[in-house]
Amino acid sequence: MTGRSRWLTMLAMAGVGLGIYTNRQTLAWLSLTVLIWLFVEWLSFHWRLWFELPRLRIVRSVSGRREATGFLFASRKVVVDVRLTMKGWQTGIAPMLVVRDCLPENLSVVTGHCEHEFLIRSHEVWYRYEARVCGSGNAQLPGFRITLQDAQGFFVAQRFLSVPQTFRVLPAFANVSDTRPLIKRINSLPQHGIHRVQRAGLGSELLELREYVPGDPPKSIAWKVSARRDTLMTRQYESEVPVRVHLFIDGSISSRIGGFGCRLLDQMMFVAGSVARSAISGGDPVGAVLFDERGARRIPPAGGERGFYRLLEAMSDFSVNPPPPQQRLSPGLINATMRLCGERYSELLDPKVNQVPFTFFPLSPWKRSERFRRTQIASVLAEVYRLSPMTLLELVHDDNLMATYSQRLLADAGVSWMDPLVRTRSHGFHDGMATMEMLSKALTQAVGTAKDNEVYVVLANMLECATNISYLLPAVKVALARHHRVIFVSPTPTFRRPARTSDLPEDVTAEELLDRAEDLRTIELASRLQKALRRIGATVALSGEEQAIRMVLSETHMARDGRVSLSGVR
Amino acid sequence: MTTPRPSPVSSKPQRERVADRIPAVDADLWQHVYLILTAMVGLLFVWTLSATDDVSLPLRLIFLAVLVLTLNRWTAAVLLGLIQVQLLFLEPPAVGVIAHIGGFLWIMLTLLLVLVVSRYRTLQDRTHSAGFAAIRHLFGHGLNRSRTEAEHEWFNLLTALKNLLSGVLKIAVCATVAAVVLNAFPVNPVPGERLYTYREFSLIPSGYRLIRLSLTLFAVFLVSWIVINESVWRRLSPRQASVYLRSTFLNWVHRDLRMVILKRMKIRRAKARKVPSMSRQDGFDTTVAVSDLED
Amino acid sequence: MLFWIREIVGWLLVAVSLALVWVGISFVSDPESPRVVEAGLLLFAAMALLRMGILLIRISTAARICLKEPNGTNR
Repeated sequence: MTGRSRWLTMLAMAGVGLGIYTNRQTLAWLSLTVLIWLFVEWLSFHWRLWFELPRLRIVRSVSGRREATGFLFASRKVVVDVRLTMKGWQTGIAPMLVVRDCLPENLSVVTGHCEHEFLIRSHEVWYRYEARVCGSGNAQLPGFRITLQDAQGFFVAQRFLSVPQTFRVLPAFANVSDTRPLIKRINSLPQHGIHRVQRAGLGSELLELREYVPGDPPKSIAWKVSARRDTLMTRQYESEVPVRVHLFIDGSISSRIGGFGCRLLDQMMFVAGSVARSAISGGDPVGAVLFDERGARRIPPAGGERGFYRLLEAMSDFSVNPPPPQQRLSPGLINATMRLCGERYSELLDPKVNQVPFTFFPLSPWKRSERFRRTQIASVLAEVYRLSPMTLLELVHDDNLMATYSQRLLADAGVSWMDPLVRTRSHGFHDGMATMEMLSKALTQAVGTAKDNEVYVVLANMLECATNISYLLPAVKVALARHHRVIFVSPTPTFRRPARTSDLPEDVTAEELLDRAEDLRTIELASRLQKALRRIGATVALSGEEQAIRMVLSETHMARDGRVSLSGVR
Repeated sequence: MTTPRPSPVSSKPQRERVADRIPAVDADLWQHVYLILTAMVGLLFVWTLSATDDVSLPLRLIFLAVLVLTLNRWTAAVLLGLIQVQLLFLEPPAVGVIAHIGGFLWIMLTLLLVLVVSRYRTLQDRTHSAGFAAIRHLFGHGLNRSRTEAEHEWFNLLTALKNLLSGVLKIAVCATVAAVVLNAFPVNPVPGERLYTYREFSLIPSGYRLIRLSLTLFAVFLVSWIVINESVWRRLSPRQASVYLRSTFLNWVHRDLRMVILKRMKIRRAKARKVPSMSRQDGFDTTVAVSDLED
Repeated sequence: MLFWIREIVGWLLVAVSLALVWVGISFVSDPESPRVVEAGLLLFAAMALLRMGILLIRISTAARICLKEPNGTNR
């Protein structure tokens, strides 16, 4: 019952009473008509709510797929078709019905609307909208929120119709064009994935001629040249080796904070996916080490399309946010939980079903309403996570427990790691140190099991760890000493390279000043990081864009040729 | 705002047919239709309200303008309340059988006004477009519309009116039932014994009539409420049933369980208070204990 | 079975309360001697009985719905 019908009922009852008591016939008649009208509308609404609505069937197809599971690619558009049909003998879907597809935060509507209202009865209706997948990980479309209302707005009810579809979202990748020249400059093509390295070896291309040394195989003596020079000369051939690319991807808390598509992890995944695509196209096997607070997971190097998609799947699983770190209970967290409950568990919030025990305290009305809301949320949480009545009541009184379960509910619903789910300001120095330790350990392990010509691409939030870089340097030195290549790609929160600009507009807003301060901090950290890594000969890229991908690819190309990197820092 | 919504593109012919039909229903246009209807019904209503009085035309038009222009703020309840107050003070008391067509038509007109105002407000809540936008559309956009737009608007007008017709029929039936109910309970149930109840039990006849009518209506409502609610209750989802059982159980034992939980929390906090002093001696991290203390 | 017994008891209470309402109306409807106060007391008692009956019916129905669910016993 809405406020409108409540007021009408009260007025009508008063009108009937006064009209009959004072013998005002028209007043009594009018008021009684209103009462009967409301009663008829109530009956009709209940019929629709409890007997017609359960017959409603909704089918959603995402890019033509109706299955409960599937996969999508990040940063690509999907077309969503929603079809509503009435099952059984009913003549149609009754007005006024508002259907809203509850989208996860990982999907954002591009064209059309995910919500539609239906004003007339129809046998079958459908609507379409386009959405963009924001970041890698997963996208869970839980179902539809249905708002049923009578035409006059006297009664309203909300229900949730579960139509779950879960998609694994593979990281986006760019098809970077090959930078190698197309002119043939060699006599024999090596096998796919085998590269000519300009070092002495057992390849087929001539590297150089040198004087004969006892022990050289007679087969390698260049007889014509030896005759011309009057001394024995030996042919030295190039080496032909495969290049293996290892991606180290950091999934620590700081890289997961932010909205989907804006996380540092999303930038890293884009660079990693693009590098993997290009390397595998060139025949190089690509492996990965995915590390975060939970530990490290190693994906062995593999080539070919199957290897590429296996890697993407592992990266996608890794991109799914784990249970968030514990936060204190805040009004924002409670409000967010209540909003989610209202959207997905609206039928469980019905006071007829979800009863709140009467208490005298607290006395103030706003605190009472807060307690009421909290008890209702606790009841929904108890139902969703199958908790006992004892734990339900504990949720009402224990803030820490309430915060834990609220966070769990929000995280399970695919809410991104932002306020109020995770406080962005509470992470810093200690997290950076932990990340460096984890990375150092992973790098040392990888070097221990490495062969020749490994390319290590470290994708981590290095700026956050710049002050703790000394933890990592020994491991990098070991890798470089073993003639491997180490490339660092550190995305920035602003998605752009930190640049030293001194121009500041005259009339600046507080927001611009904050941005500027953030930029200056990033520049400071970046220069510190560059100095430290350049000194030992590692390569650094401070962006998560295409330039970083090109830099990694050119380093890989140089590794294939056996050349030494001169620049060091990009 | 009023241009037809683009219909979704589909390769399947069946989809195209459905798509052509469904997006044609436009909530914005329906809102405009209800605004026009409010103005028309309001005009009729104002005319009937002051038909016997010598009220000038500009005054009536001002009343109508106030009704239409304040539509975004007024609700049907305010309108009904004002009409009831007007009836209470201006209608002469009368005893007898209700059987006049004039009264019936006037009640129909009044409730039609309540209906269109309610529907307008409901649509406004959905579309969030103001009444001024509708007026601007009606006067500004009136002549410059294409054939497709005109067809689209015509379709919406007819559909909205068809939809309204069922509402009007419902009101007519309700008014008839109300008249029957009122006639079934006359002021004096025993002819010729008009003041009997008043003399014996200090009840004036109309008061006695009110009690009888209220009780009868209450009984009818009670029976239908029980039948509907209990049949609806059987359609609960398992989740709803589970939440109901858990919350009912909690209702019964709330006081006892709350005492147990508060006691447990108190002990836990006391323990947490002890941990920092010990841990400082041992050199352990005290983060957890401090966070608990802050509660 | 226990749920069914509870539900039957609930319906009996509802029936008794409706009967009391009927009696109350008949008290008032008698134009010779309308007993309004007695009818009010009866209605009050009827409402109390109705509330109890409805509670019993609802609990037993909800319990049966929970039992129908495959893993309802875990709750």
